[in-house]
Amino acid sequence: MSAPAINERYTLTAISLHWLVALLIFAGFSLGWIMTDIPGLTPTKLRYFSWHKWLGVTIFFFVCIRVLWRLTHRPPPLPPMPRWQRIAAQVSHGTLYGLMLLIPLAGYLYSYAAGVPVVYLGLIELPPLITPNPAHEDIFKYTHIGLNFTMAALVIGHIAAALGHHFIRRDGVLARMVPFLYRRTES
Amino acid sequence: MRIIRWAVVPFMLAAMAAWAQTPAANPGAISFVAKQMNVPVKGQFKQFSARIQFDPARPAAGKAAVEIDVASLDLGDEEFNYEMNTKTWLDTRAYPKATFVSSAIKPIAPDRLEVSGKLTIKGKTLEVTVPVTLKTDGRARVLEGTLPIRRTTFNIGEDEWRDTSVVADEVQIRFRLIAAPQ
Repeated sequence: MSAPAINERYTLTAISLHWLVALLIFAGFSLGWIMTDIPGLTPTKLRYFSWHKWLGVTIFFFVCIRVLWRLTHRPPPLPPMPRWQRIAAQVSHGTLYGLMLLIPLAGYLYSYAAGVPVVYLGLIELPPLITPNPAHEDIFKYTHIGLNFTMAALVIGHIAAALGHHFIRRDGVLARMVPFLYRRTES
Repeated sequence: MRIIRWAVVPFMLAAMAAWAQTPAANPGAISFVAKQMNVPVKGQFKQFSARIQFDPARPAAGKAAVEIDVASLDLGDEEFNYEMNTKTWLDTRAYPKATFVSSAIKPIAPDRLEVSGKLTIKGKTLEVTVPVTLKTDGRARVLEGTLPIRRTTFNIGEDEWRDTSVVADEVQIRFRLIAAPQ
């Protein structure tokens, strides 16, 4: 057996933030899908809308920290791979960071364009960045939805790439982000 | 002399009837704020009329009657507006009007009154008292105030909406009414 191509992993902070944000995004995306499918107006629907917004604000907050962490910490090196794959990885990671910030922002602006303030956890009313305007409402709504589907496609690619590296190439790329896999490759 | 005195009566009755029946459109505003998951939800009634008789020299002799076209409610969203008109919320087909008719006006300070009267919403009448601030706008008198109500008392939001954990029970009704110069 050849030695694992990588013997360096992401910092524990980066790993924790990655999986925390992944979980929150999965919850926010699912809730967004479920709540918009509820017909008419029900208490459950309103409750889900609030939770969805709170999730979005939380995601935005943690992604800001992630971006700061990423900018101040060098990620572990990639194993040898074709140039196009390196570029694809960099471009998709950069785009994912952008989307993780833009999607909650578009949702936030959608809410304020509709004249509905966001009250985080039902406690803190967040600042209105824009004035209510029905003409802008649809723009932010479809931006929010469009960016979400773009991200869903990218996330599927992201997961496919990670699994491909782990099960087909077996080059230790996934282990950089999954602590228990890392220990295994290390031994 | 007695004839003359009795001759006044029809005019008085006519005046009273006119006062009761033809409330004039008022250039003021009636709005409300409800809370949904602690998010303030603002709305307004685009059509209402008010009949206000108010003489600052004799505030206690004043009278106020307000009639709101409930269906003119605007929450700034078509879907919400539609919902508010349904039986569950304001049932505007069965109860098109919400009214307030004063029974007593008590002066508290030169610019403050306490107005008591009957408030009717969705067919339910309640005796309420509301503090009113008196302002002057040119020659007109402006009456401003906020009347907090409990929506469940008036059956606003039935069935699953009775639960006040999503839409709070308290709704603030804000009004700004103009009393024409006497």
